[in-house]
Amino acid sequence: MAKITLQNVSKQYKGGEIQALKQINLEIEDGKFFCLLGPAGAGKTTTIKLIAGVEPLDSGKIFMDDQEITDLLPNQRDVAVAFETYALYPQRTVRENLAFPLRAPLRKKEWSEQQIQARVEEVAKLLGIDDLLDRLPRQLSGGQRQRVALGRALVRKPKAYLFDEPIAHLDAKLRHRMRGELRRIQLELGITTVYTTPDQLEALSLADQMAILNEGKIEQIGTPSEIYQHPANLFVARFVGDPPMNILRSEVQGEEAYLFGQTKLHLPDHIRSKLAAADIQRDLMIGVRPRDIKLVAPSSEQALLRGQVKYVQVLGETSILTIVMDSHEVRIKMNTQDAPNRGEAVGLNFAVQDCHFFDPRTELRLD
Amino acid sequence: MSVNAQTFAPISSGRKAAILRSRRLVTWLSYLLTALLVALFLFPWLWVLSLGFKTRAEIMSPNIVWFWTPTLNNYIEVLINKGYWRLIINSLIVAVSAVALCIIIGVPTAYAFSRFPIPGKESWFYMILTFRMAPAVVLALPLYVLFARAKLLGTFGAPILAHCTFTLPFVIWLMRSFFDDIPKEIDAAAMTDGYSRWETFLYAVLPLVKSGIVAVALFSIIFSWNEFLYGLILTSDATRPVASQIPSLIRPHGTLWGEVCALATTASLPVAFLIFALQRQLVRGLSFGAIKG
Repeated sequence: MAKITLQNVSKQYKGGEIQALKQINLEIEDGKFFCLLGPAGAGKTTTIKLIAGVEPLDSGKIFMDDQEITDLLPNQRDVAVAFETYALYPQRTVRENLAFPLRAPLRKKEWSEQQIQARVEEVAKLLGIDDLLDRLPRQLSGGQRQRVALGRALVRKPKAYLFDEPIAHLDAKLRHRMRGELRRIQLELGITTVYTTPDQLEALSLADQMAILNEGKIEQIGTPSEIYQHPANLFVARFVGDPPMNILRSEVQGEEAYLFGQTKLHLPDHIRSKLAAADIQRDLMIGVRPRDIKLVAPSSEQALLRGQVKYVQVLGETSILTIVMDSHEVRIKMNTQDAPNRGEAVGLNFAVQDCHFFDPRTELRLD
Repeated sequence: MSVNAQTFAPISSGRKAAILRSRRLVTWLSYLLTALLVALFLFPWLWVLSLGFKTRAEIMSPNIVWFWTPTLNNYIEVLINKGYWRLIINSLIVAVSAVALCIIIGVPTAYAFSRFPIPGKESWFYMILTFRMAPAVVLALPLYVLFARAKLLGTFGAPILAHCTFTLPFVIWLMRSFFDDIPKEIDAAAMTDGYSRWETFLYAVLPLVKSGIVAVALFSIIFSWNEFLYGLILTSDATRPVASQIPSLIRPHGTLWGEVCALATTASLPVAFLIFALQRQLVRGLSFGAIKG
């Protein structure tokens, strides 16, 4: 168990052509489940590889607890990694792949042959691959290989687990189950875990703490609820939440903001003072979560915006509606039984306190 | 639409027969070509084999003697009476030692070339390759002087080290491409699994190139076995490999063709046997992709 700290870590590839990580600072607390969330190419895998020590960093320092590990070899760091590319040993059976970390010469005295077999079978059962133990990796499907890769990490109890999109290639049902299992194992063992995923829902549901990574930079660090409720900038606002937050451009005039030139929105005091401080004269980005928008009759006085239902996407109990107004689209999430039909005219209402305000130039949150 | 209709139009039975005929023709032609090639390679060898079992009169006859009673006299004379069977042992000692040495040094070197960021790596690599290109004559005399000073002349050390000049670059060059084919994630996985760099090489990577090593070693043994010049110049009678001794059968009063062929046949047998025994490994090792999981 360990606290992991990254200090001003940078990493380039191809002689500087690709800047994978730009001055990253991270503190991953001891025993926490930490998710790195970001789109493809954000630098998630690079972060994992640097913490594991399988690639050298260009500048910066990495600490484990208070010991610097920047220059330590991977086998001196005591971390277990599940690689996104699996990296299974092709000539070894599943059983031998799982046993491989326990057979490392430096752990020779820790594990007897019997203990190794028992541990391998325990982990295989946990991951539902106990009937595949005598197969070779090439005889397995992608999802099965991914579980073997995960098992090879879980077979030990290291100072930290590093999981690089460990369940991305499993089918939906199994992924859901494995997510629960991983969280349970982590809570049981209390081992610091770094977990990367491009799936915001996965990150929100698993993490104690999470960081949003984009183009090699950290956009925001916080608990899932902090990130969901107070996205630090437009990127996070758009990336976290499904369907994504509606971002509406508005014009500020005095104490009011005008949406599409038709709707007046009275700005709260603390936002107005921020506006003045940020020297925002006209444009203001207003974000509203699809859940926070209510449907009202188009003729009602409560209707802040009026439009027409373009699509209705039914997801069982809830539905996602796409409302079109002029050339803009707004998405809302509501109970299926209350949803209107396609083509109906509707009015939209939302509360100012549910709005998120962003500076259009810096894209940063205002409050 | 019209294009689609054409593609799906049924093929007439006449056209079908024509396609089948041309396909059969291609098959027969390829058989014929293969047979020709095999004959081309096999003929000299069979010729040598047959001469070894003929008497001097039969060999020298102006008309080719197609039917004769095979004699073992050539074999008895060259192997036993002249005592040349010992040269086969010499060849074995030289070839096996040279190849073992080159595998032990060359395989880890190739791994280093594949994995480590050595400054000027590609230049070093091509420099090693160019050593392979140097003709033996260029190196023979300098090596003679060098080995004479080191008092290696007349010992097995001389031909063994000399053979390394062409075997080692070959091993490094081929083994590197085998290692390059193995994803670096395998190394990364083994190292995070708790293995040191050296243990990663031994336990995770080396098992993946096993058949590659067998193929490379086999080729190296063949090169070494067939090597002539170093074997002639850098050795004494006691350490000379078999291939280099054949010229001694060319006498002022005529070449002993029967004995030459008997010795050549005997010398070919160990290598032929090796290739036959390791055929499967060889094919697997040469088809690079086969080592991937």
